[in-house]
Amino acid sequence: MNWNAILPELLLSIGILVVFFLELFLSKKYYKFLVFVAGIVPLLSVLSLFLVQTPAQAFFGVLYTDTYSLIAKGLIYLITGLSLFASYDYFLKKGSEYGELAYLVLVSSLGLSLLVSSANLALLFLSLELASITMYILIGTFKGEYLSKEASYKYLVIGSIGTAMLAFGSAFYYGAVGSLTLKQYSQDNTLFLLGMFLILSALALKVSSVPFHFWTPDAYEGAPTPITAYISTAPKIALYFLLSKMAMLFSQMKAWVLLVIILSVLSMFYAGLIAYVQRSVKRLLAYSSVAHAGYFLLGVIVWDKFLNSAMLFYLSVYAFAVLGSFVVLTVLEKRENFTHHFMDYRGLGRYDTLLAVLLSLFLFAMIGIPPMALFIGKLGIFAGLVKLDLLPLALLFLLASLISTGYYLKVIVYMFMEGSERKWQKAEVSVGEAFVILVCAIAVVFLGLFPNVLYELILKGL
Amino acid sequence: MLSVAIFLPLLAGILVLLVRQEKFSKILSLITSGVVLLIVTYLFLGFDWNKAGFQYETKYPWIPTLGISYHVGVDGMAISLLLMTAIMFLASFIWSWKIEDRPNLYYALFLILETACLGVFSALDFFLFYLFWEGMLIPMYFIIGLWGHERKVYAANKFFVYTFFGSLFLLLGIASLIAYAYINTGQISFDYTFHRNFSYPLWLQLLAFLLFGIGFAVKIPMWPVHTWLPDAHVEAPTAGSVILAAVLLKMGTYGFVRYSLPLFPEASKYYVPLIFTLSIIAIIYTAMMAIAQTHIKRLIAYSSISHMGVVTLGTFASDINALNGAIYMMIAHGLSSAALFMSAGFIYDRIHSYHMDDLGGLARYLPKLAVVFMISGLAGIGFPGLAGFVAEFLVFLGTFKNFPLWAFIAGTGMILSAAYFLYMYKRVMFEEETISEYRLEKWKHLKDLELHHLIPFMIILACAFLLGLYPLPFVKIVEQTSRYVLGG
Repeated sequence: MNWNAILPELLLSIGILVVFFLELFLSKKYYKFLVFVAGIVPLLSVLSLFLVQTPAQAFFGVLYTDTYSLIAKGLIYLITGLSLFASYDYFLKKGSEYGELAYLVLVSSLGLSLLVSSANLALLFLSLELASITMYILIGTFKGEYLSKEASYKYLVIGSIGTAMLAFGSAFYYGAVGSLTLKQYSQDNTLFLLGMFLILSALALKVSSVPFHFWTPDAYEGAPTPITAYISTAPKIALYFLLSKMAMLFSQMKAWVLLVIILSVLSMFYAGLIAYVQRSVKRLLAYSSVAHAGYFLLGVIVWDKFLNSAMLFYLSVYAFAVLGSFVVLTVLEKRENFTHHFMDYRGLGRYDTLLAVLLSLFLFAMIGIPPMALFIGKLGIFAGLVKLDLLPLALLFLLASLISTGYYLKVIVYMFMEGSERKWQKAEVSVGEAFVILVCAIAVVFLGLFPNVLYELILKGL
Repeated sequence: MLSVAIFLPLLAGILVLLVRQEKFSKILSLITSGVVLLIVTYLFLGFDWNKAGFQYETKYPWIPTLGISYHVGVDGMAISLLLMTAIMFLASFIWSWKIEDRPNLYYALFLILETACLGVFSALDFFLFYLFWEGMLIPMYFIIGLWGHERKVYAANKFFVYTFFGSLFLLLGIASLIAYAYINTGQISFDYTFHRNFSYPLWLQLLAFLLFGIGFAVKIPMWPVHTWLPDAHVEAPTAGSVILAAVLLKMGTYGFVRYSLPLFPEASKYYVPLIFTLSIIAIIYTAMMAIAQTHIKRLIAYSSISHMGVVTLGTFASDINALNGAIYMMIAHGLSSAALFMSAGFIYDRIHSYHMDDLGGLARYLPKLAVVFMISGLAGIGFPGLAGFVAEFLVFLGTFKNFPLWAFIAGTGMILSAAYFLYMYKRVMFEEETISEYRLEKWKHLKDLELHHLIPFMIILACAFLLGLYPLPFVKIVEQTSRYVLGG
């Protein structure tokens, strides 16, 4: 048994147990301390990544670790830690301090981290469920908030359909291939096609791609905002790294290409248009996440080093931008009676200039304005698609990003160019939130100017 | 040296945002833009127009994995445009001396904008170019959106979406060039000279020309993607209009000369009918639109589109004189439109209206303005002795050689331009009888041009006269680029 291959997961599990026992014995006073400890755990796991020797297998080849999955794990852990740091003040202010939350986030992170290195559909199923079930709970952990429960329930119901599809698809896969191990397969086989169709649908549901996106806006809106920050970033990273690995195995098949193209184009345009009628910034960002699912799916149509590395880079920096913007929303929401309706954002630029500027930095980043790093991802995907003779898709992508600028700008317009009728109290930023926002802002700008730091890593991993 | 000029304003802008002292912001902006102007003038005077290629080149590796380097350098066209940019920014800073609403942010945005503009004209790396190209979008968006007039949000959004629409096509164009070069050489490179020495097959040229072309056409703007310009100009504050007309529009035509012509020579020939048709429509149709306007800023905006049509016409006439004229026209139009927008802005400052119906007889009350307004207008319509005349003359001379019919049709646009300007001048400066006694009474106490208005006018109009009366050295400098681009 190769323990070294699962070192980060082991460390994370130990950390979960420690936090679990701490939560049992510490009184509520120590909530802040507890979350802080929980936030440190994934960061320690990030450090442990450097000790892992790759490539390595564990559990009889069910788990496979290489540089590629280590990058994904590093990002997942980093984001988990950051979103925990940003969460404590919000829950204290809202009077909803559940100590369980601290280790539940870690459990879901553990699930995601196993997901990226699973080489077997059984482990894939288990780890995805581990992550999802904890996420259903996390969304619902908002004391006395009806919307949060509804969101949790909705996600549970729709998520279960995904679970069923994944299990069913795995069964077909087993029928066709004779094993649950993920491996290259390109024979024309109806059973296999059916299996792949179901598995892909299940994964599409988890990345909230149209037509499986219905849970997204409600879950994102209902969840406590720091949790939204978590569920909109970490799972996405894990799933796209997984999808990209699957693209390597299955994208010789025409059906894969066709399905992914359909999912991607639908997501880009549907979400882009629906986002315009939203009145809540949080919901708007949820739809933007659906639209981005479409953009990222473009990167897994075919397996190509050029295209995939661009997509993964885009994804990683996108995660920082989204995390940053949701943490800004967290800070704003701590004020009394603040909903995320556009009207509450009026005049933000005048009174909370710094927050407004940072939020617009993240929004401009999502539009794809340089020097923010997301534009390099966009450029890379353009170049990758053109290289693969998929110019029409590149044009569709262009059109969709153009459509998306309008709704991001709407938020910026409300913040800077509309006077407010209501005087808000000044937003208080806790140390944790300030730290996270700063890290995200710096990451988004720095990786835009010096993308090779991350890009070379991804290229090496692929 | 060149890099210092490019990044100095950015540093000053950051400093302004950090210090947040009104007096400090104003003085620092003035000093910065003055220093930039000095540096650029120094580079301009030291420019050797007999030597082909780029001068003052600097190249450092930046992102080696993706073949991106920090590569700047200028040729004759770039150095002239840099000089014009530096002058315009200095002029706008002087002009905005008395701004009251959030002055720190205002100056900081203009300083950042200056870096972006200078960067666009000197970048020799696609990545760097795109960075600067988009870098101008956000400052300008906020300048229109925060300091504009009534419908500023609409105009700012329209400006943003249109420009970003173009930029995305440009990005896709860049991506396709990179991808093609990567497939064929296995090397990713964003360097301009690398791509310049690479010959692309016709299909890619045709495709990439269109992608780049849409990006540039929106910025110029060419008909039919011009509709953002009148709105942006009408709503923008005066200094914003000046920069928009004088510098930002030139980015598009600069892009055509710098990228489209040398990189896609065959496509540039292939698309001549298309470009010419659009240019002619721009020249004639928008000039007629201008005649129909009663809003003076909108009229000047339409005249800008019309003049930019002349530039695109000259650019693609595949004649060295026409290309010289086109580049010359970029500078001449920058000067004249800036002066016109300043006049319009001044009228608004005093009378709070841009509408011809509210104006009339101003020559009696604002005599100094009447003089500079006339000179600016004449510079715009190509009156001999002023910069516009030399430019238009060269363009039509060159175009007539290869495409006599097109040149003839386009020439009629020049008559129209005289018509709309003189018509506007008559309505605004004379025709006192249409204005009520009561208003005229109030106008008696109007203050004419102050020093911070007069200095920018003096600088710009002096340049216009210089370019009009002694064009030889400037034509020589511009020709350095034309020869290089046309491969002669």
